[in-house]
Amino acid sequence: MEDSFEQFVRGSTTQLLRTALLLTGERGAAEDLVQDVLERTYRHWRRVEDPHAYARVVMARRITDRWRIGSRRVREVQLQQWHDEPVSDGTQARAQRAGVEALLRQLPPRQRAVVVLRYFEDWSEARIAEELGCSAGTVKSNCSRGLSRLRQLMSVEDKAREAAR
Amino acid sequence: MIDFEQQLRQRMHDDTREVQAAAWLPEAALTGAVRARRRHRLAWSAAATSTAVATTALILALPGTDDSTRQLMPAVPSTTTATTSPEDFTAGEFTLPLPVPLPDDAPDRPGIDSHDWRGQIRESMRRYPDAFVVPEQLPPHIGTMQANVSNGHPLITIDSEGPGVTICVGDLATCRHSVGTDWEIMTSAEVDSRTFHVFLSPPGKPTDTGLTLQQQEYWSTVSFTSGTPEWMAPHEPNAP
Repeated sequence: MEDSFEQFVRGSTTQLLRTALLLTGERGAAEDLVQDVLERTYRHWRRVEDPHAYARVVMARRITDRWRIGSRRVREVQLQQWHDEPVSDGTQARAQRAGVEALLRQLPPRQRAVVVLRYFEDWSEARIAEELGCSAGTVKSNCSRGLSRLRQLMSVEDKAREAAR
Repeated sequence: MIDFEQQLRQRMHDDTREVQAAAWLPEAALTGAVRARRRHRLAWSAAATSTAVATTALILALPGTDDSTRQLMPAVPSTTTATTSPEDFTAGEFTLPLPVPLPDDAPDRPGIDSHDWRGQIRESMRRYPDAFVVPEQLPPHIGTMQANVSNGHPLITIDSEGPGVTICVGDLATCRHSVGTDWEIMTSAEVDSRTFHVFLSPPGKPTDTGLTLQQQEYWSTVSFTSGTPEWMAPHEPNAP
């Protein structure tokens, strides 16, 4: 059990962190979320058939839990670089524009979760509804509103970039 | 022209492609999983030990008893007929259940989930319906909640991150006698014709700073009930 869990952790942490970063919009919060998810996955490891799917389900549920109490959470400011070696956070890939997580952060929490699960994790609307405990109609409307807002934000971004040329 | 949804999908992948987990993250997760389990086990074994010690102390301190006359039978609760078991503990007039361990595959719920503290509260309130009130909602950073007896009086103790609170049903003098005279009162109110007080536990060590303003606000504004709120529902097996 310990060996296979360790293999899972070493093989999936980065991909989980990417999803968590889009969901939370903050590196520190994303790392916290990944650790929470892995700890819970470990506790249920013996019964988990597909750990990759299971971890994402736990993440989706933890996210809605976190956002339920999120207004009480103090936003963290990183005071010290904890990493022993430099770790890329995607800065190179978006030197000319803000990261998409910055745009996602401007969406209400549930819209953000739905958009990330739908377009990054490729979950169906039915699955998102089931995992987040809401109706398919709610998923559809959150997704539609989230896309509309993102389209608007990206359009503003494009215009600003053109004006700067 | 690429449609917007495809463009967004591509951008999310592009913008996270270079994101790598630092080496410490999987190590911390692997260590943390083990440490968390150990911490939960230690917390509950400490709770069980302190309960046993407190129970013994209370039995020994009962007035009018000595070695020749002391009866170590569980006391019978005054309001309902209790079903006692080895998992019960008796203090004064009260016989309360100890929290039982939960299986590893118990569903994820807020708070420490190695033991069924919800069940312990539920059963305690069933046995002594006039003795307890509880918050209608759990505090955000709930650790555990437990029904206890202190100086012969029943209490609900709630542990979260940092110092917790204690809920005492009764008049202020009785509650002060039960929890200690130096405990600060967070809230005093009445619900379902029961007067109760919420006390802030004193810091356990010099570095403790007490409840944050947000935590204090929580205990000043949350509603209480003598019923069984939604969070107290029994565990259902096999939910992820």
